[in-house]
Amino acid sequence: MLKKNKYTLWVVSLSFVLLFIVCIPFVPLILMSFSVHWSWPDLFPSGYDLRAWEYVFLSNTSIWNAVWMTVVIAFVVTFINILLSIPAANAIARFKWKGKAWIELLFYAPLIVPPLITSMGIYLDFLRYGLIGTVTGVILAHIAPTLPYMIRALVISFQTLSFDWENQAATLGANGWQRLRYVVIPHLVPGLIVGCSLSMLVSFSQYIVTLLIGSGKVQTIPVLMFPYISGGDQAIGSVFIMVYTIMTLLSLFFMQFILTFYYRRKGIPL
Amino acid sequence: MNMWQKIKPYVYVLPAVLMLVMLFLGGILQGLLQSVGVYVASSTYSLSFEAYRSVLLSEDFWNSLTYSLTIASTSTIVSMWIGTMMAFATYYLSLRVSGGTKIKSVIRLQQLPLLLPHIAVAYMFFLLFTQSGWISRLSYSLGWIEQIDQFPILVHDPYGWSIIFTYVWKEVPFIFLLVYPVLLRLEPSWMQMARVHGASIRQYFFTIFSLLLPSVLTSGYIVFAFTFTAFEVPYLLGVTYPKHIAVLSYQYYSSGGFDFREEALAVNILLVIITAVLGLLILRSLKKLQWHVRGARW
Repeated sequence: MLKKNKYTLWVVSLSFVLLFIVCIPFVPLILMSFSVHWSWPDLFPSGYDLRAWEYVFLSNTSIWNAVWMTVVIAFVVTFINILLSIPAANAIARFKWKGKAWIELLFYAPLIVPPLITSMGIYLDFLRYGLIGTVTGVILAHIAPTLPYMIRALVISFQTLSFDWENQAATLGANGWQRLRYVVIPHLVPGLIVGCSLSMLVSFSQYIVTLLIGSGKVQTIPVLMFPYISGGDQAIGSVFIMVYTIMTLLSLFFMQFILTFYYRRKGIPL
Repeated sequence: MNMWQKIKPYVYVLPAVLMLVMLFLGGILQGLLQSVGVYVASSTYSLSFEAYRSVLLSEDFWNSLTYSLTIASTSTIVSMWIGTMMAFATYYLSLRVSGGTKIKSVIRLQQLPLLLPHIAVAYMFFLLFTQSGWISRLSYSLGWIEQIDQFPILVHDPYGWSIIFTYVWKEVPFIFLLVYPVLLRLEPSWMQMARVHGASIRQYFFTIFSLLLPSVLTSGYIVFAFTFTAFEVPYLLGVTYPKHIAVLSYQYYSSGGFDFREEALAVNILLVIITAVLGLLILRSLKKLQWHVRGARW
């Protein structure tokens, strides 16, 4: 019994150290966004107000457009990724064929070669087809860096989906669409949620690619806020980063919520 | 029917392959062609390696390369070490403590950095570690320093400390995420067996480490490739000279019209080559390792 307590103590202290390390970066950010005069060496600001928040939300109405733009781009990118990844992941996870290793290499290579490099190379082609400065161009530029995460997440899901289940459904008279709808997709939901979360997170994280391909005309949150965070008023920079972080976390929790909801409805214990 | 069965997987991967060939391979290929002066669209074929010559002869490039490689390898090695230790510690404690909820909350908590974009983390670390930042104020309150300039320069500094801090904070959970599932596949009885035979926890860890090595190396390689070539974090936290290699490339690309465009693309191609060679080396060592591990009937 005593021994058991020793390990529980370890777990508790480990949690506290983690809590500290994970949370401390948020402290100056939150304080700074509400700070009035905060000169060194004061540990806390001498006053608090909403000046920076008012600046960002009232005198700068483009923020809501930027939030909307960022979310729409991420959603469209993720939707395209789903369509591309379901068949691709199926082929990777459940079929044996020649050249699979090479195709897998191609699928995961964008994890290693960053989108800035490929975007610089493809810039002139995009210019020729009129994609520079358009939302379509930015969406296309976000696909390569996000697709590997979706494929990977779905490959893991497909690996545990036996052909027998689909065959059984076929024996019971389900056609191709019904098998996809009632057998395959439900099994993929957890993987889909993970893939969607990662795909959206990576799309949210793009700054330089969006700036280059969107040539400043496609104003996502990172593009809008970058001048403020790379110098200038730190209170305003902090507000932008908080908006950005909250937007990201809300989208990811929304995904998580769908997953939990799905499991509850299916009666699968969490 | 048989024919369809044969071509089925190829049809399935076709859309994704086409998309990546156009947007990804196309980007690399166009970068490669244009870096040697070949412009397919405008039918200009003035093949020259002038851009590579000028990049490889410039001191700026070598300084940037050294700076970026140092930061990337430091961040990677530290993240791999802490991430693996964290995974093993969590696994060890999960065997010792009854009731999984406590351990689950530990795991959930340390996964939070994964959910934040790099740009946000970089700015938080800027506010934390800059000379007038919160750690500096905290050090003053604790009586460690008396003047602001006694606090070390950790942001926009020549060693990239704040860049390394940002990456380690961000990537440790990533390493954890890829290593922990491998630990869960181990038989819990192995550890009891090792303990019965008098092995310490440390000895047990080093014994099973070769089983973890594939996932440690793979995740470490992804972290390295990312930190070596990413733009945003070093742009926010890096020093003016030497510039991080991706920042240098973008500066060539965007400054002075099209004058240094080919240099920028040459830098990019060199980066792709460096990362690819490193990847091949890791792949080869993993293949050797798998022989070794297979011999042990894993």
